[in-house]
Amino acid sequence: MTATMTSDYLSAALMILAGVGFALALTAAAKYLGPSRPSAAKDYPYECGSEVIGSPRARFEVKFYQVAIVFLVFDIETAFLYPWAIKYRELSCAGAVQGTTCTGGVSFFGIGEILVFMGILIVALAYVWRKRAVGWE
Amino acid sequence: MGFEFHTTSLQAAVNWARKWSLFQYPFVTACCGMEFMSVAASKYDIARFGAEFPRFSPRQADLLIIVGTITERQGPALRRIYDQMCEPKWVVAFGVCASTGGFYQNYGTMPGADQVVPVDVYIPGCPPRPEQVLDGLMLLQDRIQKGEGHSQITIAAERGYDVPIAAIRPKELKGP
Repeated sequence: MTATMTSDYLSAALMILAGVGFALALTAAAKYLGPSRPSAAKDYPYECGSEVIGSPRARFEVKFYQVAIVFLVFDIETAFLYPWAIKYRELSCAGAVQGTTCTGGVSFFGIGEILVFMGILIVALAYVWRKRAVGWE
Repeated sequence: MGFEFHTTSLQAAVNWARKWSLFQYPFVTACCGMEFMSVAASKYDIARFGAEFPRFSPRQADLLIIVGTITERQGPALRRIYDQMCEPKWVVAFGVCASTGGFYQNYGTMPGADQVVPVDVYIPGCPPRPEQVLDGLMLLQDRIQKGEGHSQITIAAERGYDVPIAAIRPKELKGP
C-alpha cells in the first residue's frame, strides 16, 4: 500500500517537474535566443495603430455593476434549471425508471423543489424590482 | 571554428522553429479577407504550416499579413502596428492591392504597403487563390530559414554580421 502510494506520487511529481521545467525552458530559450530591441513604439499603448485619446482610467456608471450582479443571479438560476430538467423524469417517479417508463407512482418532489427554488429567486427579483435596480434610469 | 559552427547550426535550428510557428497579425482591410478566411479554414488549413493562430495584438505576433487595400490614411496605423510587433518579424502583402495598389488609380490609395513597411513576400492575385497564399507562405518559410527576412537582416547587421543583401527600411515615422 505504502509503496504504491509513493510511486503514484512520484509519477505526479515527475509530471509537475516536467511541466514546470518545460515552461521555464521555453521562457529561457525566448530570453536568450530572441532578439530584444526595445523602442518607443513598442512601449506605446496598442489601439489598433491609432493615436491614444484620453486616459484608460475612465469612470463607469454604477448601473453596469447593478446589471452585472442581477445578471449573475438569473444566470445561475438558468444553470441550475438545466440539470434539473434532465433529471425531471427520475424526480417525478416514486419508483425506479426503466428506460423511459416509470415503474412506481407519481412523485411531486421534482416540481416541488424547483418551485421552492424559483420562489426564493422571485423574492430576490421582487426585492431588486422594488429597489429600482432592474430599470436603466 | 567550432564556435562558429555551433552558432550557425543553432541559428538554423532557431530559424526552423520560427518558420513553423508563425503567429500572424491579420491586417484585413478589404475583400481579400474572404480568401484569407478560406486559407485559415479547414479545407486549405494554414495550420499545416504552423501559422494558424491569429493574434489580434502585435505584441504576440511576428507575421504581419496585409490583406487588402491600404489607403494613405491607414499607412501610419499600419506602420505603428509593424513597429509594435515582436522581433524578428515578417510581412506578407496579400493580393495586388497590398502589393501595388491594385486597380485603384486615385490619390487616396497607397501604391503598395511597402511604402510604409518592409514587405518580405508579395502574393499576386485579385484576390489570390488560397493555393497562391500557401505558396507565398512556403516562400516566406524559405526566407526565414535562410535568415533573409528584412527584420532578420537588420538584426544581423546590428550584431555585426556580414549581410549579403541590404534590408529595406522605410523611413521612420514621426512620433511614437
